[in-house]
Amino acid sequence: MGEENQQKIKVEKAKPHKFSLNILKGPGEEREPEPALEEKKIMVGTVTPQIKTVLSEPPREPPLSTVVEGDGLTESKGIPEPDPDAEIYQKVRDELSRNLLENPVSITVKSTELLKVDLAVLRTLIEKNKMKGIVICGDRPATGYIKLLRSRGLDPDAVYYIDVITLFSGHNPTGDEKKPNVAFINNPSDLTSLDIALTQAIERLNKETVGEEKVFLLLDCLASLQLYNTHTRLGMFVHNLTTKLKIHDVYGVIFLLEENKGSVLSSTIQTFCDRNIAL
Amino acid sequence: MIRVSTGIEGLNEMVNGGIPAGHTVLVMGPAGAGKTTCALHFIWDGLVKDESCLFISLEEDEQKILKTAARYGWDFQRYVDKGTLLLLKLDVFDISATMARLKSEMPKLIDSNSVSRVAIDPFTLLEIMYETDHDRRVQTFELCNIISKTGATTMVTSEVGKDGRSSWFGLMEYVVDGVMLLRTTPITGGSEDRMVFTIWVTKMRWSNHSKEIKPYDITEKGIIIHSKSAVY
Repeated sequence: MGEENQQKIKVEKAKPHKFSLNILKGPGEEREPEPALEEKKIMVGTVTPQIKTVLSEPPREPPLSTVVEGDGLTESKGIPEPDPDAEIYQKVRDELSRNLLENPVSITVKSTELLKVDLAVLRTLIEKNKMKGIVICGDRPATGYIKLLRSRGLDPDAVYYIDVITLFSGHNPTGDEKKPNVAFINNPSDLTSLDIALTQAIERLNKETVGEEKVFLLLDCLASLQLYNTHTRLGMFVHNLTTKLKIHDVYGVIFLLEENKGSVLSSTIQTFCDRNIAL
Repeated sequence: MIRVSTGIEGLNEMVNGGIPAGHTVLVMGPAGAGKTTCALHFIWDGLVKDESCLFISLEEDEQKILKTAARYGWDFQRYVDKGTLLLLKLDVFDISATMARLKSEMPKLIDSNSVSRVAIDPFTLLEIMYETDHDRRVQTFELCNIISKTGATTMVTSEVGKDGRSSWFGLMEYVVDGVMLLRTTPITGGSEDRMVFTIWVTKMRWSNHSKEIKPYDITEKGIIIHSKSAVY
C-alpha cells in the first residue's frame, strides 16, 4: 500500500487491552462487562486506514473462529486483529450487488465459512441494500440469529424468522423467545407447515414494505433440511419456493455446502437459481 | 350464478368464489378431521350475515352444539334467542319416525323461517339405521331431493368408509351436488411419521373447482384452509 495511504497515528499507551474472557464463560456464568472504547487505543508505528476503521467501530466479541492465545487468562498486548469479516463481506457485497434481477441465487460455501458468509449476506441485504427479509433457520435457532445480528450492529427486527429446529430439539420457546416476527415449525420434515409459514411471511412483509423497499429470503441451509427429507420432496419444495419468490418479487438466497457439491440435490437446486456463486 | 360464501378462509377460492346457491354439499372425513366444525363454521357465516339458518344434529344435543360453537368464539345462543338460528336434535333410534318428521317438517320449517342455510350432522347416522342398501338409497335420495327443492344451501357431513376416500356406504357422493373430502394424511419424513390435515374438493356440479389437495388447520377461530400452500 502506498505512502499516501498510511498515516502516523499518535499512540496513547493506555492500559493494556484486556482480552474479553466472555467467550470462555459457560451458560449461567457471570460475564464480564465489555471494555470501553477508550481503553482500546493501542497501536505501534504506522497503521493502515483499514485498521483505523476497526478501531473506530463499537467493541464487539471476538470472531468465533479466533483462537485465544496462551491460557486465555493472561492479558493480551497484541495489535488488534483486522476485521476477519471484511474480505468475505467485500466479496459477498460485490456478488450480490451485481444484478438483483438474477433471482434467486445459490451460494456454495464451505461449512467452516458458513457463519461468516451468512453474516456477510445479511449485512449486505439489510444494511447496504436496506431490505427486510425472511430467514429459514435450519442451521441455528432464531434466538441465535437474533444474537448474531445484534452483535454485528444489525437490526434483528428487520428479519422474520422461520425456525424449524427449536421445537424439534425439545425446547419450548418462552417469554422473550416468542416474538411476533418468529414462527416455529414443529419438525424440519414438515415442509407443508414450512410452506404455509413462508407464504404468510412473504405476504406479510410485502404488505409492510414501503416505496421501493424490497424483501429477501435466506434459506440457511439446504443441508440441514436434507437430513430430514427425501431428495424428491425437498427438490419439489425448493422449486415451489423459488417460483413463489419470483412471483412475489422476493430476492432469494439459498446456501449450499461445498461438501455436498455435485450431489443430485445440489445440482437440481442450482438449476432453479438464476446464478450460482462459489465463495 | 349466485354463490354462497362458505365462511371458511381459503375454501371459497377452491370453489370458484363459493358454493352455488341451493346446492347440497357433502363434507366427509374420518373422526377428528373437522366435519362438524366445517358445518358450524358455514352456519356461523350465515348468521353473521343476518341469514336464517337451521342446524340439524343427529348426534349431539343442542347444549353441546352451543358449547362447541362457543369454543370458536361463535355465539350461537344469541342467534337462537334472536330466532334466526334453529337447532334441531333428531332421535336416530326410531328411524321411520325421524325420517317422516324430516320429510314433512323440514320443508315447512325452512319455508316459514326463510332459512337459507342448512347443516345436517352427521348424515351417516341416518344411513346406518336402514337395513338394506335399497332402502338406504331410496330414502337418502328422497331426502336430498326434498332439501334441494327448498332452495336452501345445505352442508351435510358424513363419516368415511374404511378406504378413507368414500362415504360410509358410498352413496351420498352420487346424490349430492358437491363433495369435499377431509383427510388426515400421514406424511413420512425424517425421524417420524406425522399427520397433516388436507381437504380435497372432488365434486361441485355446474362449477369449476380446485382439483388440488390443500392443507388446512383447525384453529381457535375455526377452519383455515391454506389454499396458497402445498402438501409435501
